Amino acid sequence: MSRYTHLLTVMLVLCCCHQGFAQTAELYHYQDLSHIFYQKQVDSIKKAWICPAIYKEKATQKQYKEYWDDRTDFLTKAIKDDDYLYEQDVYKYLDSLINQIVQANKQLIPAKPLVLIDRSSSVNAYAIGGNTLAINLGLLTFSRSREDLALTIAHELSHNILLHAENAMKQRAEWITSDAYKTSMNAVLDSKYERLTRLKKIFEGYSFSRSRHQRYHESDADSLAIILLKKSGIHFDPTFFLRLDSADLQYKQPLKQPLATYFAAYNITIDNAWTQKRSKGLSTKVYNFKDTTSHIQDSLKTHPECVERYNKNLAARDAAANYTPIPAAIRSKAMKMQLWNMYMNMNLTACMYSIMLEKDNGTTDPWYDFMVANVISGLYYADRDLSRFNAVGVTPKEFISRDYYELQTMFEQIPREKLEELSNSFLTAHTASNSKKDEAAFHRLMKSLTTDADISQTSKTNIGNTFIRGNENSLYAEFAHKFDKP
Amino acid sequence: MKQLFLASLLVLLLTSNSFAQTKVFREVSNSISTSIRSIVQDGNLVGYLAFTELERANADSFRYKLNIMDENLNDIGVLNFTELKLDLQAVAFEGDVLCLAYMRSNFVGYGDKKRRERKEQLSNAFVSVFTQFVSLDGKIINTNNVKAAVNIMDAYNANFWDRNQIGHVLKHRIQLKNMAGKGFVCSFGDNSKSHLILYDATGKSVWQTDFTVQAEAYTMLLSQHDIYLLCQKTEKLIEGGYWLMGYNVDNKAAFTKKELRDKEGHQLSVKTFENDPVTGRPYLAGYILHPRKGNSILTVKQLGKGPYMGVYTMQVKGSGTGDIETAYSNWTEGNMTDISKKGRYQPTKTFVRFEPVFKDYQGNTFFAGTSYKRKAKWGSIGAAVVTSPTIIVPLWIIGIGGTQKAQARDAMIFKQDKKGNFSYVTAITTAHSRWLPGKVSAFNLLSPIDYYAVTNSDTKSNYLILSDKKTVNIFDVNKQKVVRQIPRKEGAVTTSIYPAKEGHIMVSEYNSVEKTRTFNIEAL
Repeated sequence: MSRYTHLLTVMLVLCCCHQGFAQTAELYHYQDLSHIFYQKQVDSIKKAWICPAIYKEKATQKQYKEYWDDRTDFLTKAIKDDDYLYEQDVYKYLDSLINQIVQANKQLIPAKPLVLIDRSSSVNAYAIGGNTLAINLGLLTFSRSREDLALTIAHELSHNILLHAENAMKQRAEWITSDAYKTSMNAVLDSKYERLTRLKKIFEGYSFSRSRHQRYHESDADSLAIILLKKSGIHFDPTFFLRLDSADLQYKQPLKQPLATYFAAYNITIDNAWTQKRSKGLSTKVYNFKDTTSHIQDSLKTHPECVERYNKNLAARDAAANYTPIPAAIRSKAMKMQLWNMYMNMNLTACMYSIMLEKDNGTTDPWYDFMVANVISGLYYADRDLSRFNAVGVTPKEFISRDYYELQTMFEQIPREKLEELSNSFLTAHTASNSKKDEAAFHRLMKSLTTDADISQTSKTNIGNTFIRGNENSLYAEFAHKFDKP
Repeated sequence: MKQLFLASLLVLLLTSNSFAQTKVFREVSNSISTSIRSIVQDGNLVGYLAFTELERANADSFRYKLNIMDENLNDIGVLNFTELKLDLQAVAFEGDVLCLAYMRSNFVGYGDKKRRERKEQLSNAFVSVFTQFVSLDGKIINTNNVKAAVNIMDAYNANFWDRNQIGHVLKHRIQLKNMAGKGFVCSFGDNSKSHLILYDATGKSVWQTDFTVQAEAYTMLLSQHDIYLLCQKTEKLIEGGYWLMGYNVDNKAAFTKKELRDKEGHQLSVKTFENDPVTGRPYLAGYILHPRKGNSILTVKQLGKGPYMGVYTMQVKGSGTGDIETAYSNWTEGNMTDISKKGRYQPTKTFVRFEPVFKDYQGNTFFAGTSYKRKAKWGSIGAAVVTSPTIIVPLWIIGIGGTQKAQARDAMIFKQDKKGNFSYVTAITTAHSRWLPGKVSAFNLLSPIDYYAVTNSDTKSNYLILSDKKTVNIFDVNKQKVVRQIPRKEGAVTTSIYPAKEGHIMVSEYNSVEKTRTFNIEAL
């Protein structure tokens, strides 16, 4: 009995330890970034993804291998560049969903795919063949229900099942090495006039039938996705297609309160002069180049025919379906990871605006205040580094809300001295109030970066190393590691 | 700009799609040429424009693309059109209309032509100045074509190395500026005369005149409803020979020709010809040239001989050239304690060669430039003395190395107030050059500093950007101190500074290893 009591005590201690760990490490660790976490997969992908010999024609086989290797390089480079990460809870959630689909469709999906969480905020997921698919954080934060996610995942699994990526590579290789292609290319050279137009026509014809998002591929994937979902017992919600249409308009969404109110919460009074555009430039004019606007809109959409897809698949809808919301904890983690990624990319206006939108959604999580301090100090750091313009990421007024425009104007026009003052006060206040060791250390790092007179690369590397010592597991170490590179 | 990157990306993507047909892509992309211009209104940069010749559409015409970007480098529009051979020369903006001035031809710029082809086409061949007016909804609202009196075969032969461009075939280049509330003024000179044309904002020619100038070059400046023309004809002095003339577009009257000389008749050089930031009236500033030594301006050794007698600022007070106030600061008169009669700044024993000259909002004129130090080459002199019995050796030592050496040192800033008091303001530490023998101490070999003056009318402040090989210094003229110092990145990154919207600079970083270029538009 005493042995069992002892065992029980040990188990309880272990459980408590695990609980404590889970509380302190809310998000992921630095080691969960793909260049470390998926290091072994890079080697195994390189070994496993060997181009099959399917063509007798040497040129075609060579071209096919080139595309095949490009795909491998794309994935391994993305892993090395930390385009992906592993976060236990989010991964488990996605994994359970994928498992449900895979288990119910074993004939079509004999092996479980390699699933990667892409850090991009773009509302998208993608299959690259080789039983691999990536799901963007942007999709996780955009989706309202488990069914929304399931539809997208099933759609991407269908691309893999139907070998769309592999077939596209084959078709491209065959086309590029075909006599018809060579003849048409020679015709371009032979022509004295309209060479670019002719060249474009050749590739437009090619793109129409072989592009990644060609219509019949998408349609096939939609149809198969519905079958996969039905077999898995997951409801299908076609309205998701319609919602996809607004996926690129997130920064057109207005704030619930005036911009000044969000800053007032931090005792910051916004000077009207900061938010009123002083530029005499063309950005303040009323312009309307129709061809350009339509081009931009189209290029932003990954699936421009959303309404068509909705109408086509509406009949497959289960009228009595109830949809399961994505757990708040999962969505919250995805949002935080997405925001941190925006910060890492120094996309500061978008990062701050997203924080404000989250506050509109009712969040009171102090992590967002930590990020507000990061954005303000990051902006001042960028200014010192002569890159405030890029950190603000000035976006034309047509694509953003009036509030976003005000915020980016403020970030652009706030005087350097005031920005320095705000950065210092934010970092001082939050370093003192921060309970988390790595967050406090990160603010100390930002303080050094924004106040040290020496702004040389060597100095930055030293500041970064100071943070890394003692916080090597922190996700914020990624920022400090930026200065490792010359 | 972004569109340009996209365009080149498109070419690269296309190229990567083929291993056998790269020649096609190379040939097609080689025939695509792009030129980038800043769009300026009232002296302020309001946007950028990329003009691309995409392809030859047929025997006569080409397809072109205009990418119009705002002051933040965001695309606001694309315009495609087909025209005869065009060569973009200038861009201006007024009344929500863009005016573009091109050289246009149906003969020059079409590649090599065979003798028979030339003979057949020559009778109808022309070179003209073509103005195109584009509204902000992407429409070409008007065009004008003014044939230029040039010898067509001379124009054809002027581009011997590249017959696919029109090039500079005019006697005086096209100048285009906006006139607030009126429209655009375009000027150019051909073999017979110089043209001055006023277009309204819809592109309609509302007034034009022509004039004959025996000048090698002239610069046009618009102030309110006046057109000022600063002309130069080099006679004895390379930097002299200036006069000011012009027209008022309301009464169409010509201004009295005003020669640029001081009271004693010394010629004046012009370092700046701009509008005063407060009055909006033109001012000119530069050196008073020594009548005899005024051409000794190529090396530090020559600078020491005193080619400049002082500096001046000439302020136009009203319309025309009748009411002009000039402040002179003549150091040859010997009344400046810090500056010798030859122009040497005594405390540092250096000569300063002024490059940017600009006025602040208080009416002062600032002269900035690199200082140069001369020293005797005691080693050479000693060696020559020691080897003097040999006769040949000292001649060789002195002949090759000379007796002086020179070095570029810190940048120095001087101020001339309204009354003509000329005083030292400060020195800015910049990278010193190596010592060069006096004979070969040409300024372009010695001065690695680039200067660029920026104003901000909102804050009524002036900045001077000084960039040497190690640092970019931003000097606040009002505060009289360096407010920012940006070390140039080490290794493969080259930092360059370009003009940007008012109160800003554009910082471009080119990474020669990664072959990438980034642009940042930063506030001062």
